[in-house]
Amino acid sequence: MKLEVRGIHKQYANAGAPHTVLSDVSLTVGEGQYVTLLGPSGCGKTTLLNIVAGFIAADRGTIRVAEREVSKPGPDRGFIFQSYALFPWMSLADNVRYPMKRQGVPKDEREKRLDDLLSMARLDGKGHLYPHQLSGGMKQRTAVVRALAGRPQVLLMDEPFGAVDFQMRLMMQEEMERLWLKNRTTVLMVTHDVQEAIYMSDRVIVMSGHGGRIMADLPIDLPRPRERRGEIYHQYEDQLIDLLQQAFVDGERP
Amino acid sequence: MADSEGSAAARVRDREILDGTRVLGGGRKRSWWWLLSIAIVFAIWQFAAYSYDSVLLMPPPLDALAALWRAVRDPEILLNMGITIKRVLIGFSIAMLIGVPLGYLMGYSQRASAVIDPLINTLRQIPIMAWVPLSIVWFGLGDGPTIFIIAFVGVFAVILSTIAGVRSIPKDYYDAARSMGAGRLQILTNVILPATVPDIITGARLALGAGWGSVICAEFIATSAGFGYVMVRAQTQLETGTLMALMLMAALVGFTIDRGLIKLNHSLAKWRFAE
Repeated sequence: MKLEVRGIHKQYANAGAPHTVLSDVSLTVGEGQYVTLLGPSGCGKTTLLNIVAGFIAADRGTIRVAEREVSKPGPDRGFIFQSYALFPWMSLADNVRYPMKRQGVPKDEREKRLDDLLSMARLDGKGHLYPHQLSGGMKQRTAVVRALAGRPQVLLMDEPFGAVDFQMRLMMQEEMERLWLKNRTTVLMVTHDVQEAIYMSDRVIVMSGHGGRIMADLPIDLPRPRERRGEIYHQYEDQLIDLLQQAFVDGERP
Repeated sequence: MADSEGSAAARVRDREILDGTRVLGGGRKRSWWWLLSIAIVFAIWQFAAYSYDSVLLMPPPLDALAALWRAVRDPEILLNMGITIKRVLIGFSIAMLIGVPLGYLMGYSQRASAVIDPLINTLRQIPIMAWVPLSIVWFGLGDGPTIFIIAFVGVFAVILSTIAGVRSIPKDYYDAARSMGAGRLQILTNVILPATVPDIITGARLALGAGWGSVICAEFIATSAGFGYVMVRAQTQLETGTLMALMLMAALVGFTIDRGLIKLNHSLAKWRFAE
């Protein structure tokens, strides 16, 4: 198991009354699997991802990456932010070099990896540009290869296709699948979009809208590269929409 | 994508308006409308001089320009200007040396901010010129009180801008740096420092502007050398033309200092201006 989440519990004090965000959540992501956390907003999926990343401390429970327990952020877990969080004062190339510099990758090796990553993400010749000069798609690809540059064991993504228009979102998903098929990193991604979850994932984990529990763990058995059509695709869609509705109703119940 | 950066073009435009490198409504081409506004000022001035018909009260613009031409070649005036500029640079450096670290501390630590903020806000309410008599008591006449005034008036602008800079750094940048393997020191040098450069330069511009504005006033009272002193002398000798020339000179120096800092901003934070 590449990523192992065991018995994670998290409460927030909400105007005095404790509010349980995650209650005894356990899951595993196998080597090279692409797993999605799906759920209505407020279900704790982003909190769980932040705990796995080490940005937030859990009240109870353990996170193991490649059999090693972790509690702080580290380069073994690459993170792709919804805002991308590219450093605006660094060029595209310097952004991608940054994790390699922090890990002390020697210069020759660093430049070689940089070239490989940029060409993999179709960003050749763009290295000198600053983030604000990049299109949305280019920013997203930069964020992906920056996260990959440090050779993480696990890639964590927080709604990486979150706030773009529909057409752009489809393109980014296809781009992401293409990049992922090239190196098959273990992925845990958060989304609230059913089609996105089916299109991207080997497994979809559905979280309930209230109480921070896992409702379902659904393997998606479709050939890659994926297509957004066909009977099986639509069966998965119906199944997940039903589950999400149930998750939402769960959340509404006091 | 929560795009905090906005569109590149809009950002560059905002920067230009803030930096005064864009003439409003003038588009990307360099506009010559400012010539018209100068012409209007000179026309009003000329008309006033004609109506008063007194070289003492209102010398005509050409007289003032002639006096300016004499002043910029007068070694004594230039020497005194040099004294004033030296004071401004020393006072400004003190303001930066105190203000930037304090701003980082207050921007980064809520607790430090809670302790220091009331103190700063109290001191800040005292009009800067109200410090002049006390600063003379403390430092005597000469460089002491003027440098004190410049440092004091500048330090608040530097502190407040630095705080604003630190607080506007998105939390994601810290998390991103940590997840890529940066430690505390590297977060300071790789994230906080570069992210705050533009705000610190804004603070520096405000500090230099305020310093330049107050030093001349302080020199009226607290010294027997410097540009303010030369101005008072021109006034007591009833050389109104020279006085106006000196005012123009003060404006030109202030303008040049500000341009210099804008240039510095463009080279230190060139990522903000790349198109």
